[in-house]
Amino acid sequence: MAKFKFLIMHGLKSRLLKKSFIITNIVLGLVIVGLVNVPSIIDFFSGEEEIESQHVMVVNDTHDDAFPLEETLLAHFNQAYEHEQYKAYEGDLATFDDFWETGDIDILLVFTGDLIAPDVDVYIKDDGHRNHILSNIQVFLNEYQDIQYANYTFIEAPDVGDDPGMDDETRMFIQGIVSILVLPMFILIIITTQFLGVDIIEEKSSKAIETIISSVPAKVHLLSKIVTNITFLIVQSVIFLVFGILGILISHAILTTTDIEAMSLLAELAERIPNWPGMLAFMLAFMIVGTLLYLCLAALIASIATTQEDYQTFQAPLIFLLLGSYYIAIFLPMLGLDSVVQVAAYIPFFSTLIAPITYATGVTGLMETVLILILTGAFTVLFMYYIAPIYRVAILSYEETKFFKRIAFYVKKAFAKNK
Amino acid sequence: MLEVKDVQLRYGDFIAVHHLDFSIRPGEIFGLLGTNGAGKTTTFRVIMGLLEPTEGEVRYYGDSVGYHNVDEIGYMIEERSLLPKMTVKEFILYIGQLKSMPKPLILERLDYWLEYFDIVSYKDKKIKELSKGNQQKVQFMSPLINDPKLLVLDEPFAGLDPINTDLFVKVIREFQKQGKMIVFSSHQLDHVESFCEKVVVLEKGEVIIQGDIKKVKEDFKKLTISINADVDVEILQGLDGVYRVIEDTDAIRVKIKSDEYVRDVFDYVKSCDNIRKFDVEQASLSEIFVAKVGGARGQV
Repeated sequence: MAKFKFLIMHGLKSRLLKKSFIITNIVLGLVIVGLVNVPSIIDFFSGEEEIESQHVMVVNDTHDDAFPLEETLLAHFNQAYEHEQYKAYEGDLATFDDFWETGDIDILLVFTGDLIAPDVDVYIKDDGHRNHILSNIQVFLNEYQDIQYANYTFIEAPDVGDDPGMDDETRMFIQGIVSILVLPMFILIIITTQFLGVDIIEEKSSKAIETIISSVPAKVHLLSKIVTNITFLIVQSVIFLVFGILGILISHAILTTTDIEAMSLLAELAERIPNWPGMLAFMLAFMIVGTLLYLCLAALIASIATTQEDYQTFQAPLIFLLLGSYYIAIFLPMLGLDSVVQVAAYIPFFSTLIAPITYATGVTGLMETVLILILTGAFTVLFMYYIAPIYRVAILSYEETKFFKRIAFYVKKAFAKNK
Repeated sequence: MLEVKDVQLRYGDFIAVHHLDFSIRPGEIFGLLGTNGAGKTTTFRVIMGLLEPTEGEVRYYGDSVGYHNVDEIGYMIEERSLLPKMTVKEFILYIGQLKSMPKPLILERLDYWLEYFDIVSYKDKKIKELSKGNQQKVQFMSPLINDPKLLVLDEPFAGLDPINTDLFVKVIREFQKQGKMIVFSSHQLDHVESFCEKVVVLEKGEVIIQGDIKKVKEDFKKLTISINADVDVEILQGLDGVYRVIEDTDAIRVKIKSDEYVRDVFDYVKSCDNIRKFDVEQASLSEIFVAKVGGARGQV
């Protein structure tokens, strides 16, 4: 146990105390904090820009003169135009022709006739506002006409116990977001398996492995490598999480100490993805369990290889598996092939990247996703149990035969010995 | 005490080690000799518990060799087995901690061996930056760092220059004096017989010579007589019991079948002029090996 602990600590120290690791994380930290605060940062730097005010007077001489026309139109004008502010003109005009001489009024709109099809006299001093004003009047009129001609009553669907699911827009949005979130998972798994593989092959190709295995059992060596790398993955994920939280705190500080009204990116995401805590939890769980599985495969491949070049060649199946699941995770949901994705989510090596997406997009429910997680975990334990004897034989052998012949030889030797 | 009891290791139909049986007592140096592929490394792996024998067993002080007592054993493999990206200090600390040693003790012993091998200035240098000779010294330090009771060295002298060979031999002798057991392999038989008491010579996994070196030589009846005199080689070749005469630059070497023929050779040489040397020598280990399996003289 002491040697197992030592190997893990040694592996972690040599990874976490490396200059490259520290520098990369500092840079990544700045990037993550920056990304979380993109809207706030943009607003912060553009905050100095003077917002131009346009003073608008709306005269409602239509048949529906009780309608709050000025208020409604101003809301329309301000809705899409962040760098201009349309305000109600506080003063009064003796005649409309005084508009041109009065300095503090910019726009005058005079509505007459029927408000459904009104006559509108438009006075605008700066022609640059003309299109914005006219298009928004048109939008308002369309809405007003709807209000006048139709009387909508929304009938709720009868409750038959089915999950109503999510609308297409939300689903597309979640697919887009999850595809982006799966990318760091994919990269982290690739990095971790690379670290483990290179670690093992370095010891094996330098022949130091025999000295090491003469002091600790091969099984302990294998487990220590896997635990080291999974711990590294967790540490790295926690660091990312800390950066994310730091970003949120900074964002919060910016929002509370300034009068910027922008939302942080994470807050926007949280608002748009209703089941984000579950999704995040599943992503983390699948990342850990899935990485364990991929680490076992990487360890097996590294033990079979004899040189660095060998390992680079032999790891192709691992990379293909990861790439395959990554593309399935991203593209099949977009094509609407839900049943195919659902089946793929049950395949252990694929489930790592696919299952969080199927959960997020509602293809698999909570219980089904938990079941997939349990199945993937059980498969990982079983896989580890079966590769340990092969690893024990392969790690001290330097066969130079072809990959599959070599595997077959080691499998035969490993299980013949165990009988 | 280390006992290798009737060990056999088989891979399917292939027998890697065939009924090997020997023991080493504290304070003994044991040589496991043979050509490349004879089964020496496999035997070491069996001793270290890295390979499980198909038949027989290895006992270390009456107990099986396993990870529970491996910290008392120092093991050096034949090929360079260093982690080149580490510094000398990091590597020895790594190996020492794998032997369950506390850090301060490792550092204390590291300083001792660095000084002994005269490489103190390389302590914080990366192993890959060292010369081959110094790398070999570091490799030799790794099995010594835990002050083992049993030292298992696979080809420790391979590629060493005479100065470093003497240095390593001195360490082995020191360990012997301390009552430790040393088992090592080599294919340089002439070198081995100078400081080894017991040997096993393997060929294709089978034992062809085994036992105390003196006894092995005695049992091998054939002798060599070195002569410096004005002799007629043809007459020597015609003498009873002589099976070979070699004309070396420094002497004429007469190979005889057993000591009973020494007298006949001596009587002839006595009749010759200018006699400067008449030495009767036992056959060297390599001669015995060559006689048993054939091969190059002095280098198996």
